[in-house]
Amino acid sequence: MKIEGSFTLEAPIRTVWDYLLNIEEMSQCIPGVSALETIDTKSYRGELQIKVGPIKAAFGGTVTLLELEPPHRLVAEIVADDRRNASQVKATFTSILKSLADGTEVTYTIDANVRGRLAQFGQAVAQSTAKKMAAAFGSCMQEKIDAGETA
Amino acid sequence: MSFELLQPDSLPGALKALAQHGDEAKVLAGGTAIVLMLQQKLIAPTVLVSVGRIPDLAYIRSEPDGIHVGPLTTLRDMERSLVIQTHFPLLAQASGEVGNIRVRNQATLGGNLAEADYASDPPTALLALGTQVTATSLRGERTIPLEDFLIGFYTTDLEPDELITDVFIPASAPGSRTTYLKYRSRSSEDRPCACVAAIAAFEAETCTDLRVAVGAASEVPQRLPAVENLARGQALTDELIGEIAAGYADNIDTLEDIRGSAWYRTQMIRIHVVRALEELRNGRR
Repeated sequence: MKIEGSFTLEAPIRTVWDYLLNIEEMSQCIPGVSALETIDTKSYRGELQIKVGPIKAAFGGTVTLLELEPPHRLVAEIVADDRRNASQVKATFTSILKSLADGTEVTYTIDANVRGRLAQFGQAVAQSTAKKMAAAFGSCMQEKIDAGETA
Repeated sequence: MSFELLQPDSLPGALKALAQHGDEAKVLAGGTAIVLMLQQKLIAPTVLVSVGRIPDLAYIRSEPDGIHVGPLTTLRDMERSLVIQTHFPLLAQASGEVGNIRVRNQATLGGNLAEADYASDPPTALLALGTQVTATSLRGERTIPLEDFLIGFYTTDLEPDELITDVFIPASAPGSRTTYLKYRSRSSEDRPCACVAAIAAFEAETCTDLRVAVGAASEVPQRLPAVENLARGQALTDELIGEIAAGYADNIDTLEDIRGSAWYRTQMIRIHVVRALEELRNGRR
């Protein structure tokens, strides 16, 4: 399943890149993420809780940064599972940053392979949930960048 | 899978159980949706509150300003109801399109609305009809227009302690024409890939009121009043019908699933809004 989208931040590309790579700060902007730990400079462990109507998922897993081309492109691999729902997710996350006249456009592609019970729940729900999370992530990042600039 | 099954025999008993267990409890009515979710282990409530023993929640009551339908009324009873067939034929149609007869004999109106599955027939018809949902808890009672009740995928405005206790469908203008079109992209018993419910009132050739709801193509069924208003005071020419259909096709952010891509759904919305409006113009009641 492929999920694509984009959002725009009012900040120079370099600032956006630095914020994206500050994994601890950045992860606070992903709704439902908790217990983030650094394994090494390229890998992190964490938990992600998602709720859609009556259905709750709690994933635990790792994120590994595979490719970094500052400040334009990053590729990460996500491997996670939800024991209660007996589901596994393996996903490649690619993000491309593009400098605009008054900000930076962040485009993302998530190529996810979901197995187990949650897989049958459907692509439509997963896509829409990911888009909502990305929108929330974008506005949270903007707030953090604005707060950082004034500080 | 382990949960406690409660079978209260009164409404206050059920409301008390819901208030006590909150988010840990789920309501069991016909069970056509929740039993599947339980079997697939998508949900794991600790308490199931069965509402089947509560008396007087299955009814279809006609009043001068519309009809009240009880939440435990089965979709099959709605499909077969003479009152609904006579005054709200599109609702009888939409109820009769769900799954198969075994599902419709079991599934209830309240359960259908509370589940808020995007790929379901009745919510789209009910949205076009201007339906209002009454929810009751120990805290009191409130009435919610259906467009505010349906929030997103499997998500409604209901609080964990609330139960749907009435569904009210206001009467349409006398002489209104209605239709419900369900488009399936796979098998004959499938859920809709897209569906259209439409109601129009006419004075001679002039359309005085138009309501169109499009469902199963996005998270929740949608009405677009600005597009509906294009028809007001106008004759439904082919050109105007095309314009209204384009309005729906262009303004609904369609989803993608096994029944069709987002692009495909947009095309199906356009085609089926055209067909629905042609049917209304050409006089089918």
